Amino acid sequence: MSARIRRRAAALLALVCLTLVLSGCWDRIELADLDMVSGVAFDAAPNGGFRVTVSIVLPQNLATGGGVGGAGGGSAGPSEAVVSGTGATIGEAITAIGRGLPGHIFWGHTRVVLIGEAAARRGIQPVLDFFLRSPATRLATDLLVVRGEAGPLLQVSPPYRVPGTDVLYEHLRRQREPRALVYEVAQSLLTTSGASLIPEVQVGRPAPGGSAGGGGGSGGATSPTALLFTGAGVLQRGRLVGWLNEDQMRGAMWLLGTARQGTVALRSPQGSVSVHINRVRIHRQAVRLADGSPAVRIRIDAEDVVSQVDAGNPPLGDPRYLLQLSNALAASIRGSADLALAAARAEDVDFLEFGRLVAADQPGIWGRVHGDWPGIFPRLPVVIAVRAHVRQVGNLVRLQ
Amino acid sequence: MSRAASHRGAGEAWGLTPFQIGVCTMAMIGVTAVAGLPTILTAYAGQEGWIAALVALPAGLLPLVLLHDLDRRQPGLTLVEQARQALGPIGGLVLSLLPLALLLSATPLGAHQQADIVGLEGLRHTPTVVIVALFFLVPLYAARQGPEVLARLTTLSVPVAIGALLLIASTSLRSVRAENLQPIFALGWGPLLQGAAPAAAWYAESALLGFLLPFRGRDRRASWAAAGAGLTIVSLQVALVTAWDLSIFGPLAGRVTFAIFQVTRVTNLAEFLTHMDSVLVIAWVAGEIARMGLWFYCLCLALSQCLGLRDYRPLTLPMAAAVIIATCTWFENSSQFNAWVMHVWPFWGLALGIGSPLLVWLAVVLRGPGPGRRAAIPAAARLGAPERG
Amino acid sequence: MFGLAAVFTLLWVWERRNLAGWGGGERAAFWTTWGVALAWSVAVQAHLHVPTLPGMTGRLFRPLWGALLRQRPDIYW
Repeated sequence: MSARIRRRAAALLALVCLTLVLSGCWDRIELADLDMVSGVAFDAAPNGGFRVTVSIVLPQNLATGGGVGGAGGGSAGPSEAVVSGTGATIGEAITAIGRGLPGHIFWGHTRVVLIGEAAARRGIQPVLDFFLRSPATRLATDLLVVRGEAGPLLQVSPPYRVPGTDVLYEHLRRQREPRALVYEVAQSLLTTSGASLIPEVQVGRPAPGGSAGGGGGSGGATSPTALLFTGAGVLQRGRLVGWLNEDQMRGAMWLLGTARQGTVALRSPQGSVSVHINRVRIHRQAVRLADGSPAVRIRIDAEDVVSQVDAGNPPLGDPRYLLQLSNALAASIRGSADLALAAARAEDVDFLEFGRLVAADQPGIWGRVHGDWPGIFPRLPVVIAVRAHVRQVGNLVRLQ
Repeated sequence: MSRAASHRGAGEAWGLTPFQIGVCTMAMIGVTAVAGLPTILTAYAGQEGWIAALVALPAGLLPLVLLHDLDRRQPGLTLVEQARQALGPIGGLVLSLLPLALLLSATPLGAHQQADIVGLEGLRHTPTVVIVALFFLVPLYAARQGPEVLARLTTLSVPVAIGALLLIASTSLRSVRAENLQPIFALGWGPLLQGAAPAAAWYAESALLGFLLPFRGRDRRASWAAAGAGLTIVSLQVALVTAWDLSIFGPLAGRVTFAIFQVTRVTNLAEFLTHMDSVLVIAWVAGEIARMGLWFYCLCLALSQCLGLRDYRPLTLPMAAAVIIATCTWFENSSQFNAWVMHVWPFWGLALGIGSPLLVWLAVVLRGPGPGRRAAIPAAARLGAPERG
Repeated sequence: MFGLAAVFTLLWVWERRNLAGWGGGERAAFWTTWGVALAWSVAVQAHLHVPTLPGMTGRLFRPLWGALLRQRPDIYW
C-alpha cells in the first residue's frame, strides 16, 4: 500500500472516529426525551420554600388542539401537562418535578414566568438567579406577577391559542403591555434606585359575547378561560412593594419611554371617539437647575388615527375638531402620566428610572446626590410636555 | 517533504502574505480577547469598558514596533534566534526563557478558557480532558504541517468567526439600549486604566508574532503593517463587543461569565432565529482551532530552538500532552481562573509580552550580531525536516 | 493507566516511522518531554503537590494587584 493511500486511509479513519463523538456522547439527549417547558410559575411554599409549577408541551397533541391535561374531554388529547413540585429551594422543587417526568426538563422554550404575590413579596432574586445562571434558559423571557397564587394560571386554557402560555406571550410580544424581561429586571437590581415594574396578569372571564368554547378541555361556566392584564407590580430591590392599576401603568409606560401603541377613548359633547396611537416619540432628559439641583424633562409626541366613533356624530371633517381631539388626547396622556408619577412619589420607589437618567445625563450632579436619592426623588421636579396629533380619520369621514 | 520546505529549499519567494499575517494576528489574540475581555473590562471600568479596550492598544503595538526593528536588522530570524545571535547560546537561552514562559503559561490558559466555554454552554457532562484533547487534534495536526497550512486554516476560520459575530449582533439589535453607555468619562482615569491593564496584557501577546513573521513574504513593511492592522482590528472588535454587551446588559455585563455568549440568550429575529448559541459556538470553535494551532506551533518552535533541535515536530505530541495536563489541572475552578485573569494576568502578561521583545531588542542593539555568535541553526529547522509517512 | 497505555501505544504507532529519521537530539527531546508529561500526569493522579501557575504567580503578584487593581463601586448605574 503506498504512503498516499495509507495517509488517506488514516484520515478517513480519523474522520469516522470523530463523527462518533459529534453527537455529544456524554451530553447526548434525544429530542423525544425532552420535556419542553412553555411556562413556569413560582409560588411561596408554606415553610419558606418554593412551589414550582411547569407547563410541559405535549407536541404530539398540538395539531389536534385541546387544553391543559385533565381539563376536559373531547376526542383531542391535552396539548399541555401541568406538573408541580415543592422544595426548600427552587432547585429542590425542580428536582421533585423531574422525578415525576419521564424525560429531561428543557427550559429553552419557556415563554413566560409567573410569580405569585407571596413569592414576589419575599423577593424574586432566587428566580432571577435560576434563569441567569442556567445556560439552558433564555434571558429574554417575560416575567409576570399574579395576585395570589401563580400556579393555577397555568391550568387556564383559552380556546383560541394552544398552549395557553402562548396567549400571554403573544400579547406581550405585540407590545400591548409593558414587558419585564429577566435580564432587564436583573439589571434594575444593580441600579441605585433598584426598582422595576412587572406586568400583572389575572384570570378573568372573556368579554360578553365572546366564545368561551371551542377546542377541547375548556369546559363550561365553572372554568375561567381568559387571562387579563390588569396593571403592574412595583418591585424594589427585587421585592414586591405595591401595585399599579391600568391607568397608572399606562402612565408609567409613557414616562419610561416604552409606550408604543394603544387605543384611547375620548369623550366630547359632540360624541365619543376612539383614537389609535400609531407612532410615539418620547424624549427623556435630566437637566440642571440654576441652584445646581437636578430636574427631569419628558417630552411626548404621539401621532394617532381615529379608529372608531363610539357614540354621537362628531364632525371629523372639521380640522378644528381634530385639533380638539388632539388636545384631549394630550390631556389624557398627561393625566395617566401624572397618576404614575404620583404613585411613584407616594411609594418613594423610583420605578420611572429617573435616578439612572440623572446619572447618565448629569454625572456631576449625580456624584453629589446619589447617596441621598431616596430622599431627593419624591421632590424631584418633573416637567412633562405632551403633544398629540390626530393625523387621520381612517377610511370614513362621517357616517351620518 | 512539506510544501513550505520545498519552496524555501528551491529559493522560491514563499512567505506569509500580509493578509494572512493580519488574519493570524486576529486569530492569535482576538479569539480569546473577544470572549474573555468584555466582562473584565466592564467589571473594572463600568460604562467605559469599551474605551479601556482602545486605551490598551499601544501596549500591543509596542512589541510589534520592537519586533519590526529586529526584523529589519536581522531578517528571517525568530525571537529565540535573535537572542542567541546577540548573546550566544547560553545568554540567548536565558533571554529566550521569557517568550517561552509566556507561551508555556498562556497556551494552557487559552485552552482552559475554551474548555470552560464549551463545557458551560454545551457539553456539561463530558469530562474536561476529553473536550480539551479532542479540540487539540486539529491544531496539533495543523501545527505539524507548518506555518503555511496554519495560515490557510486561519484565513478560512476567522471570516467565519467574524460573520457569526455579525449575525448575532444583528439579531440582538432590538435589545440594545444606547443609554446604558452613559455617562462617558465620568469615572475618571483610575477605573479606565484598571480596565485597560488586562486588555494590555492580552494585546501584548503580539510579541509571539516574533515566531511567525520570520516566515513573511518579501514585503517587510506591508507584513508588519498588516500585523499592526490586525491588532487594531482586534482592539476595535473588543471595544465593539464590550459596548454591545453594555448596551444590552448594563450593570449585568460585568457580572456574567463570557458576556458575548449571554447575548445569544437574548437574540430574536422575527421570532424565527432565536437560539443562536450554536452559531456562536461554531464561530468560537472555528476561531479557537486556528488560534490554538498558531500558539501551539509557536510554543513547539520556540522550545525546539531553545533546545537547539533541527526540527520542532518531535515535540508536538509530548507538548500537546503537557498542555492538556496543564489545562485540566492548573485551576481548581472557574472562580480561581477568573480571579487569576483579572488580578495576576495584567502583570504577568504585560511583563512577558513587552519584556521579551524589549530585552532581545536591547541585546541586539547593544551587542549587535557578530559573525562569531551567529546561531548555528540551519534554515530547515524553522520549517522542520521532511516528515515520513 | 489503561488510558495512558493506549496513548503511548498510539504515539508509538504514529511516530515510529519518524523516529527512525530523527537525529539523536530530537529523539532525546521527544522521549524526555514525554517522560516529563507522564510523570506530571502520574503526580496529579496521585494527588501529589504539583506547582501550578496560579500558585506560583499569585504569591509573586499578590501585593501588586491588591494595591493597583482594587475595584471601586460604580455609582453611575
